[in-house]
Formats: sequence, C-alpha cells, structure tokens
Amino acid sequence: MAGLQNIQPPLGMMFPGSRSRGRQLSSFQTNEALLMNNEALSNNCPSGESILVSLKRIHTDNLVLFHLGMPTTDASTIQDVLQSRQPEVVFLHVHDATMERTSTTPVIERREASELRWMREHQREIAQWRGQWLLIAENRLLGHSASFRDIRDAIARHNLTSPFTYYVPTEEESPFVLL
Amino acid sequence: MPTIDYPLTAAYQPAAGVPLVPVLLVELIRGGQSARAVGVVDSGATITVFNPEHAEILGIEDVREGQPERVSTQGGPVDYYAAAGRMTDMGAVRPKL
Repeated sequence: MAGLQNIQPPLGMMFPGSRSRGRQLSSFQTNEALLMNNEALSNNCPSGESILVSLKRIHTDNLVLFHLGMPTTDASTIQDVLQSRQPEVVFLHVHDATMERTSTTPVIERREASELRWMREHQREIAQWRGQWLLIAENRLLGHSASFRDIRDAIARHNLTSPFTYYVPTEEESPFVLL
Repeated sequence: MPTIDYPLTAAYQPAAGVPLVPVLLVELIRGGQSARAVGVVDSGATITVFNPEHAEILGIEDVREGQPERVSTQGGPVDYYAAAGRMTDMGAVRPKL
C-alpha cells in the first residue's frame, strides 16, 4: 500500500481524532469517507463496540469506508471516490498519528500556503468568476478580471514581487492538462 | 516491482470546475522575476505546462517566441511553447511555458 502515503483528505476537511471520537455515529448528512486503521477501530463508541462495527450497522449510500488494513484499499480506489464525489466528500481521519507508512523516505511537513487556503475557503464563491483570472495575496482576493492586463495592473499597483494568479476555467474548459 | 518514494505530500483540493486533484503551490522563476501558481501533481507527466499569462509575469511577453512543441495526451495533441526557467517545490526541473 505504498501509494497511500500520497493520499490525503481535501484541505480543511480533516477532522482530528479527538473530534471524531465525540461524533455521533448515527447518520451521515453528506457524502463522507473514512480512512481508518486498526487502532482507530476500537474504544470509540459508548457502547463499547468498535467504530467499524458501528459503521457497518449504519447502512447509507452517503458513506464510503476505507479500512487501511484491507488489501482492497489502494490509492486508485480512494482517488476514484474522491473524483467522483467532489466536492461533497468529507474525510473523518480518525487516527492519523498511528497510520502505518511503508516508506522510509522522510516526509516534509509544510504549512498550507495562504493562497491555497483562500481557494479552499472560497471554493464555492470561485465559481462566480469562471473565465476570469484571480489575484490572491495574503489570504485576500486583490482582483479578478477576464483581462489579464487588468491583473498585471493590479500586480503593479500592489507592488507584488511574486504574485499568485489563478485562472478559473469555464464549464467548457478543462482545468488542467494531464499529460 | 520498482517503486518511487516522494519526500512530500500533496493535499487534494477542489476548486470551481476542478475535480479533486493533488495540488502544490509552486513558484516559477526566470531571471530575476517570479510568479506563483497552482501546480497539479501528475506523477506520470513528462513535461510541466503553465498558462502563457504566467510567462508574462516572468517577462516573456509572447510565448510564441519560444520553441514550438507538441505533446500527445489522452485528449489529443496539445501544442505548447518551451522556455527555460526554474520551478521550486518540485525539484530542479525546467517548466515548459
């Protein structure tokens, strides 16, 4: 399962274990996916039963359960679910700290970039600017326009040395070229 | 079977019209100028492409002055122009602009 090390929940949608433990495991209002390992599957429910047993009793089409201990759980399976259900997938990452990692390569932990954080926090609003360029800095939208000349003017006006710009694709456009 | 370990992780992030994809904030550098952009991790890609507007910020007013090239994709051939530069956060690679 080496590929799993590169699969992370969507930004900002990861619930820390302490919050997950306090969650009522009775219903799922949105499409949700759970990444779990063996340690996460015990002592989480008042009834004493494991989370896995509890979840299996909750029959819902909104829930996808990934158990990292199962050979059927691989990176491509998770990615398929992520891409078919966006943007409603919510991850409950129950016990990240003990997730088994097979790679010996050190992982670089980095803080979320403010520009990506802004995009995540405003992902629904971004749709109103389809076909436009956005200029984002310091967690703020400094400008938007279909004309990149306007964006360049704004870059100069704000004296930005390494500006972050993002083009919001129209519904007919492909957002990225995957080669 | 050969495997590759990546010493970094990329979070999946949604955006308007964009499926959840692993993204990184990358900085493009050319000469004394730089621009930041969303970089989508495509581990099987042989080149890295960005919009020509990013090239403008780097001082390339017309990307068509670069080397014209064509690459095959699953969606068909894509024409692009190559220019030398650096990109941070993904190692020392030469992005095609």
